Amino acid sequence: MFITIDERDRRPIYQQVVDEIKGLIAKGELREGTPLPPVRQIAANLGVNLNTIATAYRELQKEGLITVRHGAGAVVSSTKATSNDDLRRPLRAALTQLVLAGFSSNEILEIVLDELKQLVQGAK
Amino acid sequence: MKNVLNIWFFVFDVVAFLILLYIPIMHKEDAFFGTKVSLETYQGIGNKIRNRYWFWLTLTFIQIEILGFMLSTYRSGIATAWFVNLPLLLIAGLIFYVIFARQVKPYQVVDETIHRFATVLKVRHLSDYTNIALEVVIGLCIIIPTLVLIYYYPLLPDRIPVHWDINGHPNRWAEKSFISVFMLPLVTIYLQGLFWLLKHGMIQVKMTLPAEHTAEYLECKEESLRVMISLLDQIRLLQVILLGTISLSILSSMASGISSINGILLVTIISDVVILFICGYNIYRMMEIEEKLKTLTGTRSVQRESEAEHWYLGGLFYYNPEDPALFLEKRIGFGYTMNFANKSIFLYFGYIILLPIGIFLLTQLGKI
Repeated sequence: MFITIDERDRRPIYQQVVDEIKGLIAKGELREGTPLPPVRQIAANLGVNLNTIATAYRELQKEGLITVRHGAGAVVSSTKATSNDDLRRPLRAALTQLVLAGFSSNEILEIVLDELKQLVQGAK
Repeated sequence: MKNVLNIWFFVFDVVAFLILLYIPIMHKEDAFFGTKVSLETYQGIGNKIRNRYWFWLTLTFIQIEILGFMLSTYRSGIATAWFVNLPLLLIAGLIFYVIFARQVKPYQVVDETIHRFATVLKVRHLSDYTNIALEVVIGLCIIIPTLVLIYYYPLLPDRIPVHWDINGHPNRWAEKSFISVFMLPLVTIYLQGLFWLLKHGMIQVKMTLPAEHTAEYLECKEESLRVMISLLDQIRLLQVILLGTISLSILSSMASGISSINGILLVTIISDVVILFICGYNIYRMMEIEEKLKTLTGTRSVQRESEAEHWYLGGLFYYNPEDPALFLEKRIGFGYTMNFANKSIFLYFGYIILLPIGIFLLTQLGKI
């Protein structure tokens, strides 16, 4: 179970870490209750600043994907707790972008199905 | 006896000399004198630099051995070879190494194509690297000699010999006290504490993985971590057995006044041989893992461009305040080294200097 960062990617490193961990949670590779390594360890391995990883963990905590207990480290938390509306909001934003880009409803549906298929396949 | 010792020390010198010869080319072009160079440089100018290094080192080695031979013949100090030759050889080796590493440095190549890195999201616990049976054996090797010492403590005379000359006659005595009798078990516990600290730090070793071949890379790195931990465990076991045996034989000498110096020497020499064997075996395993990594991924190591400049003295010394890692893989040789910019290093060095300070204080208090 790895996360990867790309130094040449336009996204900030912390965002890449957030996205990678989110992806692993979505695919079910990181299950509820799985402990995450300490900030120091990930920062050392990836060769980035401590604060970068701390920011990523805070971001994940804010979104309710992990819980950070003092002394016990970070643990993947239950994703069911988030409300339906919270979950739908990013989807709505993404769909808005696709509509604005000029895709038809059918095309959008195709894209969504394709992405979903890849995600579910990854989970298996 | 004296000749045996001198030959033994000479063997140590030769081993050290061979290691010094081998170190710069251990990782071939991936860390030639600690610097990553291209294969052409390694086979071209690299060969010339290596030959010059070998020439000067060999010459120095011969000189040092002649010096040691003369000193041990005319000054009749038994440990001359150990106290003069080996440190001289190591200092000379270090100086030559650094000089030639500076010649190699301009040929450094940095692979700029690697800009994607990965990390594993696994938490390593000390318990995963602990063998309960081994811990029990180590515990017994500490407890049993201590119990024997406790049992015999009241039976020992008030004035006990603590030092013997080469022929086994006592030449220094001390008042019987808790410290003078239980010195070795205390040292054992102290050393085991140091080993525990090292093990605790080592399992959090920095593992930089490339984004390609990540799984193979991780497998090899985890395997070498296991080898390093098992090496540490083997040395721990050897240490308790050695000091346990020595403290028991010292007890019998204290009680009888006659030294079992030959017995102690025998035990020491046997454990030296075992240590050499253990280290050789584990280095062999590490080399195997490295070759496996080379076949699987085509490279022996990934080095970040930003890190290369923080290695000093030809890859012997790492100082990088930006890097939160404490333990990391060596550039030269096998195993791990420390980031000397990390504040936790004070914990380790503080612990290491505890022993000399403690012994000094106890000596001053007249307890030994």
